[in-house]
Amino acid sequence: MKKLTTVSLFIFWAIVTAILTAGLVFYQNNKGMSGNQAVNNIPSGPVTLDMQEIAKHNNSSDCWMLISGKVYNITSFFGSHPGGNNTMSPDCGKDATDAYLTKDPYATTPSGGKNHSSMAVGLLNNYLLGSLGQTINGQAISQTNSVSAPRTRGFDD
Amino acid sequence: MFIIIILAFIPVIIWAFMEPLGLRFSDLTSTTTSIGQILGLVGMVLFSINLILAGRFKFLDRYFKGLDKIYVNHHKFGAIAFSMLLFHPLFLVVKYITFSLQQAGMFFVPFVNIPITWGIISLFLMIVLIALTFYAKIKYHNWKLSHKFMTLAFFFAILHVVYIPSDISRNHLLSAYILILAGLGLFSIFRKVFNEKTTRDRFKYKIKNVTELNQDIVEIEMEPVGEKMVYNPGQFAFFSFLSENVTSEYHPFSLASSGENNILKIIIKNLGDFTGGLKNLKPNDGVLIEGPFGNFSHKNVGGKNQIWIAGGIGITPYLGMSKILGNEYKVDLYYSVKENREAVKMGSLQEVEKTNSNFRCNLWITSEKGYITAETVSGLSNGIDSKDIFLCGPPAFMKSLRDQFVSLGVDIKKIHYENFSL
Repeated sequence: MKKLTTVSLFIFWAIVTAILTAGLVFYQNNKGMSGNQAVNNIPSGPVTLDMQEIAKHNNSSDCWMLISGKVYNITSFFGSHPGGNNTMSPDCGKDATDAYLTKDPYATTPSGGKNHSSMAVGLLNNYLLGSLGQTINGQAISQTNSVSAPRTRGFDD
Repeated sequence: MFIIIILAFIPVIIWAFMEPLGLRFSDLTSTTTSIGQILGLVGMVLFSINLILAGRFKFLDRYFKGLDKIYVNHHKFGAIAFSMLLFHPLFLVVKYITFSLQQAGMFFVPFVNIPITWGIISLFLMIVLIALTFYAKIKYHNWKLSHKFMTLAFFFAILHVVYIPSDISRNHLLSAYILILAGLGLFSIFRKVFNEKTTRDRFKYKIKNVTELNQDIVEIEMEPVGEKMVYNPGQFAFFSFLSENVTSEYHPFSLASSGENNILKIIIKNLGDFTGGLKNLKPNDGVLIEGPFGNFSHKNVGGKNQIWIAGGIGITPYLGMSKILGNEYKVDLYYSVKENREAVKMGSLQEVEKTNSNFRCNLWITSEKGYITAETVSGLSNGIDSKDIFLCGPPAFMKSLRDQFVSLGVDIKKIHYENFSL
């Protein structure tokens, strides 16, 4: 039993140390890319979620995307994407369905590449504004702006 | 043993029926998450059961055929539960690694997420306490005190289970199962501590005589102050001595008396500070006794033709057993000691030999004849076929002889020993 315990403890500390070190290195590299908490361009009245409206939010400090018929305000997610901000910013204000499905910001078809994990799908839901064509109010937009960065959310089990 | 395995797998069965298994193992991250969940569930159940095993219940002593066997299981399942709980977060973190290394790193940082923090505190406490058990050479009573903090680790583990969003919180049956077992675990420990602090379920004795049999070995005779403890020779009990010369925590010792009269005897070898201090006990010092426990008795086996082997101080259970043998048993006792002066209580055994022709005592001095072997025993006792063999002595001594008898073709079920070789 001592052998089992020793081996388990060794594996545990080796993996935990490796993950903490890698996490710290990643954190240092990403320091410059902070999330955008204050977001401009929130309409005062009701807004219809159509392509014209989406196109107005086309930069990293105000970024809306259409993914599979749904509109997301991912502005406050900037700084948290594991692939870095540059993987998302080219698709702000656009239909990003293909980019999302392939993890390629410049994809033009939904095939090829690699799909996002179920966890990423869950995270994305936090930033949902509504379906394409739906009319929403400014409050819904504010809510998605105040979604905190996922590093403090989403742990399970 | 089997019941523990069944109890540990019940939550896995409930878990398996909560969602289609195809979804649970559909891709890498859901598979690792599922394994992590199973490890957490089974680890938590085993942790709870381990606290119940440590609760020193009489019914478990009967079920496991001896408290020593319970502690062997406690030790074994404790190590298994600990390893499972160590791997529990390692499997769960995989899904975060595939998403973000920073996210994965944060998973192990305390105070980022409160329910996870309870888990981290629990695991950290366990790591420290298990390290003390396996790797640190600390005094028994310090270790015993440290091991009590395992209950605190368990308490944090319960907080983690209750507050983490998981399969347990989503399924009432599963949460009831886990929490009832955890509750029983906590109850067992608190009951044990309460009983130790009070004198409930304790026999009150007082010291009658303390005799130094040689420079290392002391014999303590006690008599009851109130009710007498009824026991079979060969059993053991936990003793707490109420004297300023020794600390009062409970220690287990084999009973060396036969139980026929009021006098209760234990014979103790000086193996450290505590046992060394016992020679300073004085007549009329109080003793609290919890017991009896154990199953080591010539009466508990089918065969009447028996071989008893003692290594040094391992002679104690046989002293009482030999006195109540009667004529129906035929026993050859082998008493192995390094040197003649270590053969304490030889006179008492020779007395039994004089009055009972079915009892033979063979003194074996290793400095003269080398280690006693199964083959020698077989030769001296005219074969060992169908005889029950009892072993009591240092762990290495018992293990070596047990293996030798097994290789001579003795059925392992015919070999009986007390197992404190944790």
